[in-house]
Amino acid sequence: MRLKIGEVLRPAAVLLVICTAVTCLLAGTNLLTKDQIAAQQAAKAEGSRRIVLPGAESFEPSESGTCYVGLSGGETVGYVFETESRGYGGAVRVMTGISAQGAVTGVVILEHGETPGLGANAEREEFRVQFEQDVSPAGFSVMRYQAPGPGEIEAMTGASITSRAVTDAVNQAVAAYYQEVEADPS
Amino acid sequence: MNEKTSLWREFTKGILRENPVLRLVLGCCATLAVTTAAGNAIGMGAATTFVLVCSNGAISLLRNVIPNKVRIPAYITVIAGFVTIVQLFIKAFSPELDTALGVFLPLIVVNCIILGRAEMFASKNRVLPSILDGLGMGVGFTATLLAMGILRELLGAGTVFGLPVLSGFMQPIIIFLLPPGGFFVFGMLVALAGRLSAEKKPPAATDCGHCPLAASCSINNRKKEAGE
Amino acid sequence: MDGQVIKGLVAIFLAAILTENYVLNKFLGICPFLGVSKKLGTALGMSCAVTVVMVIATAVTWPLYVGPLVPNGLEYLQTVVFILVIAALVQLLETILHRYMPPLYNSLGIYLPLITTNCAVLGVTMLVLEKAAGDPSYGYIQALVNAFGSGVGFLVAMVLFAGVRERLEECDVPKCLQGLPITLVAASLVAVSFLGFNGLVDRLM
Repeated sequence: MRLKIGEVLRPAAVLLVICTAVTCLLAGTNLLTKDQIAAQQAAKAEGSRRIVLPGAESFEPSESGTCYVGLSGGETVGYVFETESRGYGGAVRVMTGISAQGAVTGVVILEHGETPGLGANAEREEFRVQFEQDVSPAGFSVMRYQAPGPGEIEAMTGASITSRAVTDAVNQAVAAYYQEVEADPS
Repeated sequence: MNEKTSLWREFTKGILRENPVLRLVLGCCATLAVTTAAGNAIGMGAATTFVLVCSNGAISLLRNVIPNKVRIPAYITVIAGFVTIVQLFIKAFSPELDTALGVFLPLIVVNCIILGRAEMFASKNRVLPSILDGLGMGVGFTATLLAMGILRELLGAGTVFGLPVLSGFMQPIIIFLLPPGGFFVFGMLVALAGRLSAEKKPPAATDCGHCPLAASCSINNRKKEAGE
Repeated sequence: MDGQVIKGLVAIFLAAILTENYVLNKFLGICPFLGVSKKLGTALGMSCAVTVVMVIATAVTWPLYVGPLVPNGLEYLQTVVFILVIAALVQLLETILHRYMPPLYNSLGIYLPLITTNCAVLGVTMLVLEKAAGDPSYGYIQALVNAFGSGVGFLVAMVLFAGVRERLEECDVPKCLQGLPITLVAASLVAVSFLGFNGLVDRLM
């Protein structure tokens, strides 16, 4: 089989031109949207931090780099942690806010792959609000079929694995909190 | 038939007569995956329609420039370019939609509807009919996604567009939000579209007839050689 | 390689087949699932070809992404680059098989052109990167095992479904459900059975 040079070169050249044009177009679009995307991502993280630690006016990364410190008028009012555990459908990422007094101020599920209608109900207010109480270094435990006492979380109906996963993640945050407080007693 | 009515027909054929999902059975992955909520369905439909219109237009413009040999890679590059543009804009202006659609947003590239229309229509027709064809197909795709999204959200979560509709009336049937519910609702809609469509003939889903790559596919060529 | 890593790899492999099955759980690769699952032989050939392409595509796109793309801030070219790499790979593989291994070409190669637009292949190359972004212990080896597992999962789903469809052929189906609708209802039932694996793999480990 013999190929003429033109038969090979022309398609290759056309393809090259198309690829170059598409790349230029994309570079332009990227330039146009880059700042907006970065701003959106920053706003989203900042928004979640405000939800879990409503008392803080601003946030900065802690010295250890493991969490964010919430500040209000120059005072440390609390800490925000991002932790992860295994749920029913993969990783569950949770953001937890803990005040300087040692009370959980809010819990937000950042990411999950749980079953819609069952495990995904962990996103709902009714479940998350249970965590908002004083917490000992031992963390929370999960209860089923009975009214929860202090330090106890009532599992969602039909989704005890997800309930446990979220509680595990919050407990990791609690452990990290006590480490952080010990390292920085101010 | 004058030109206006024929253009109108190019537009409307995608909605039921040649509905890309229900009649031609293309782009099923996205149809099944993102229709757990009506809102996502509209977002996905709009993004796909945009890519379909742009790529149909661009490919129709370039139809005399692109050599036949490299047409598939050339089409794919053009389509991937438009998909990335949509992706960047959705990331910038609606991050929630970006999270909801996840990997299915970049996967619009391999949605067979787009390559199928490029290969079957845009590469053979002038720009205006191609754009209208893309628009019609896009609207048909969006309408199907919306129908599935509303049905699955209503039955599976008791809401439509996030507004509670069935609360207190019946318990949501969660399985409609899960993969099996997707297959089931899709099956029912295909049956319904078959009934409503004038031709009354079952869609030719189970063979390669509507596959966008049929022309370059060796299974097909082999069948031809064997004289089938 | 210590035990923990191997345990993790086994978990990734099993999860890719059972709980994260691309066809029945993630809705990737539905077109070939409905199109070529009519006969057991074609289903087998198609899924083997998909598995091979999935592994090779992941092996090539991963270093491309972490190599030239990310350090230069070119992540937005991911879609374009990946689909072109897959298209080129498929073409190359077909040519090589056709030229040097005709028997293999006859059993697998003929499905290759269809694989360019199989969203499961592009899907796996992107999903492994997504997983790696959220988990520092998830590396190249894990990605390759995941790709291979996803291919095997595709094969399992195709073969099971081909069996179901061969039975369906002999059934007396109401007229309006004949053809595609009843096939989709059957797929729905197969998907129900795969729901049973949910949560299983994490408990095993």
